[in-house]
Amino acid sequence: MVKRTHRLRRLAVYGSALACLWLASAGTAHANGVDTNGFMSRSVALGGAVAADVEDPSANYYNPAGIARGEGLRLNVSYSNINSRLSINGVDSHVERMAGVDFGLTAPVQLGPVHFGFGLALHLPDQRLSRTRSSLVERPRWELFDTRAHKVFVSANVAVRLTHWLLIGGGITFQSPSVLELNIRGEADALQPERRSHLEHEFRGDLTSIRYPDVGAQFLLTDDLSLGVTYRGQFELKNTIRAGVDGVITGLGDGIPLSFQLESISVSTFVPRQLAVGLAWRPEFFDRLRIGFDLVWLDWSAHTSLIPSEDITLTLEPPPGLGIDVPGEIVGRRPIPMRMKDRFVPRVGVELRALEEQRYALDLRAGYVYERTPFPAQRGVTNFVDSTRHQLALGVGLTLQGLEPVLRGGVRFDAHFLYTRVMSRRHIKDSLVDPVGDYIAGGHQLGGGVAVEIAFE
Amino acid sequence: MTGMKRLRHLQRLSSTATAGLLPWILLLALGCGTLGTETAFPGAISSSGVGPFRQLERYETGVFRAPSGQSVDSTGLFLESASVGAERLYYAAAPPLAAPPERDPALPGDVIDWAQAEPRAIYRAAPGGFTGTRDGEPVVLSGFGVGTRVLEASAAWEGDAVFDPCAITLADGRVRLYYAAAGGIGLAEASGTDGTFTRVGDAPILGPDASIASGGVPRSPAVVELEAQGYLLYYDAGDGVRVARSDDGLAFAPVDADAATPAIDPIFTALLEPRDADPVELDARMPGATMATMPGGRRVVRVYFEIPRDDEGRIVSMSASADGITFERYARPSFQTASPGAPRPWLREDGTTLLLTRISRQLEGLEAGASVLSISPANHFLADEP
Repeated sequence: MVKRTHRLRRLAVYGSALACLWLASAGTAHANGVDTNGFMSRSVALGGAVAADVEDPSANYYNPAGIARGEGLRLNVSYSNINSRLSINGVDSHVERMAGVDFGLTAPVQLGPVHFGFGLALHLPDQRLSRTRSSLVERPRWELFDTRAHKVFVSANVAVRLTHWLLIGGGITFQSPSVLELNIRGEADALQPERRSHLEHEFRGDLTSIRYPDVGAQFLLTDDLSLGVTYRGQFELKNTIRAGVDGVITGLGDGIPLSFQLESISVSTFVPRQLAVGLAWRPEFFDRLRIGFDLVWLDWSAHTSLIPSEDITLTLEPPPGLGIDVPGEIVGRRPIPMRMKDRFVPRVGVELRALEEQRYALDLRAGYVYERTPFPAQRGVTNFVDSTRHQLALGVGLTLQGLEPVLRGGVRFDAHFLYTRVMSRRHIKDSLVDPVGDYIAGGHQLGGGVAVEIAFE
Repeated sequence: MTGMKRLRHLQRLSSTATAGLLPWILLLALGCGTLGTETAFPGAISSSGVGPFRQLERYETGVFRAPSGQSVDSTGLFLESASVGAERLYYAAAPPLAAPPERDPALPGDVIDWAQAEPRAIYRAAPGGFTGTRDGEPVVLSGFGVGTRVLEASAAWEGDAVFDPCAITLADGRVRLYYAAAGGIGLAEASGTDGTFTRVGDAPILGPDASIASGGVPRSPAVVELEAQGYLLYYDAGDGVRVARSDDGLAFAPVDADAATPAIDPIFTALLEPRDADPVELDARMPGATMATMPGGRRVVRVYFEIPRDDEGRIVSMSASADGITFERYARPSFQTASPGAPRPWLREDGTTLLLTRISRQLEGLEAGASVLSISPANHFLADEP
C-alpha cells in the first residue's frame, strides 16, 4: 500500500511534467491511411484499444512510449486490405480499396541503468505512394476514404523507461505536401490549332517534406493495470497548383495577346489533434485475459475547408467585331466552413490466450470501435459524405516459441478480419433546386490482414 | 557437433528461415502485384432533376431518324408538344397540306406554321418495343411507336385543333387527358391506358382570362396531384406560367401567387438578370410539371418551362416547390441544346429524369418540329453504344 501511494505521488509529479511537454509540442500528426484503418494486425484486431500496454512495433503509431516496454528487438511486417461497398442512392460509389504494407521495428537499448527504445514505422499503400485530388463540389464523395487513406506514413520514435512503472516516448512523422506549377507560352492558331500553333510548356512539381513530433506515456499502475496517454496535434497537407498561359492567339487577323493565371491552394488531408486515454487490464484471477479500453477525443471542429481557394486572372482584348465576349471577372472558389463536430471515440479490445504450450501459444482477439461521424448532414452546396461507423474486428495470433538455438525469441503470426457497418444517412438539401438533390448514403466495409513478427530476446 | 546433428541443425535452420521469410516475400509480392490501378473520379449524382440534360443518342431511343434522340418517328408529320403520361406517349401532330401556302414571314424560323398543315389532333403511342443492351444485359429502349389518333377537335369552343396533351392516371385506372384548344383547356377521359376518350363536359375546364393583356387563353396544361392541395394545373396564359387548383381535377380556379396585389399573378413573375454578356430572358411559358419523390421521402413539384431570349434562342429552365405554389428557380439552364421548347418531364423508376422537348426539324423544306428526349444525370446512358 505504501509502495502504491509513493508510486501515485510520483505519477502526479511526472504527470505535470508531461503536461508541460504536451503543451510545448509542435503540431503533430499521422496523416494517412493508418488513421482510418489502423496499423498492424494485432492492434487492429484489438480495435486500436492498445495505448495503455502496446509494446510491439505498432507502438510507433499507437503510443511511442511502448517502444521501451519490450525486452528485445522486434520486426514486424503486415499487410491489410479493406474493400468498401458504399453507395449513394443505391448506386455503388466505387470507393477504391485501401490496402498496404506496414513495416515496423522496435529496438530496446540498455544504456547503464536507463532502458531506451528506438522505433521505426512505415506504411506503404500498395496502389500508389500518394494521392492528391479535388473533386467538384457537386460530386458527392466519401471524404474519409477517397484521398487521405492513400498516403505514405513514415515515423521514427524514441522512448525511455524512467522507472519500472513509467515510460515516455516521442517521435517524428514525415509527410509531403506538393507544389505544382505549369506554364505555357507561345502562339495558338484559332482556326488551325493543330497545324499552325507553336507552344512550349514548362512543368515543375515539388514534394516538400514536413516533420511532426508526437508524444505518449504509459503508466504501470499495478501488476495487472496499465494506463496510457497519447497526444497528437492537428495536421493538414496543403497543395498548391499554379498554372499560367502567356501567348498570342493568331489566325484571326492581328495577334491577340492572352494571359491567364491560376493559383489554387487546397487542403488535401486534415487530421485533427487527438488525445487518447487508455486502460489495459489483465485480471490477476485470470491472467490469460487482457481487456483494453481507449477513449479518444478528436478535435474535428478545427477542420479547415476542403474547398480550395482560387485566384484566376484572364487578360484578353479581342478586336471589335469578332463577337468574343470576355467576362470582366472570373470568380474562383472560396473556402466554405466545414461545420464539423468534435468527437469522443470509444475503443474496446479483448485478447485471450486460448492455448499455451512449450512451443507455441494461440491468442484470440476481438475489438469494437464506435465512431460517430464528425461531418454534418450536407444540406448546402458541399457534398462530403460520411456516416457513423460501427467496427468489429476479430483476430488470431500464433506465437512460436522455444526455438533456441536457432532463434532466441519467438515468431508470431497474426491475422485479423474487419467488418465496418457504415450507417445509412439521409442528406436533405436546404434548396429544392440543389444540383445534387437529396441522397441517402451508407454501406459497409470488409477487410482483413496478416502479419508476421520476429522477436529477439 | 556430429555430421547428422549438424545436418539436422541446418535443416531446422533452413525451415525456420524459410518459414520466417516466406510471409515477407508473399506480402511484398502481394503488395507489388497490385500497384498502379487507376480509378475514376466519383460520378455525378443528381436526384433534383435540375439537369443539365443530355440529348439522347439514337441507340438509346431506338428511333434511328435524324435528329437523334427522337421519342417517336414523326416522319410525314408536323409535331408540336409531346408528353408521357399513363404509360403512353401523347403528342399533337398533323400531316402537311398537299399544297401548303407560303410560310408566314412574321413567325420565327423554328416555329411551325400550322396554316401549312392539316388540323392538329392528339396521338397516343405505346412503347416501340425497341431493344438494346446495357452493360451487356438486354434493355427496352425509350422510343415509342407511331401510334394512332385518339382525339380530334369537334366542340365549338375547340376551333379546328386540339394540342398540348397531358395525361394522368387516376387511382381507379381511368386516364384523364388534359389538352389545349382555341377556347382554353379541355378534358377527356378513357377507361384505361388504351381506352377510347370521351369529352368531359361541353365547355373548357379553364377558359380565357380577360384581365390578361394578351387575351389570357390558357394552353400547355400540366397537372399534378398533391395531398394537401388537390390537383394543380400549370398553364401558359401568355404572360408567364400560372397555376389553377381543383379538388376533383374537373373544375379549376386560378390561384393567386402573390396575395399582396389585387390581380391574380403568375407563379413565375421574375426572370433572371443576365450575367455579363448572357442573353436577356424575355418570358416564361409552355410549362410541363411532375411530382417527384426524393431519396429520403420528400415530395417536390417540378415545373420545367421554356425561356425565349433576346438572341432568338430558347432554353429550358426548372423550378421546384414543396407546396406547388411557391417556387425556387434553378439559376442555370436545364437544357439548351438546339433551342428547345415545350419541355415535358418524364420520371423513370431508376431515378433518372427524361425531358421531352420540341426542336426544329425540316420536312420537305417546311418547319415540321420533332420531339426529342434528353436525360439527367447526363452521364447516365440508357444503352451501350453499338
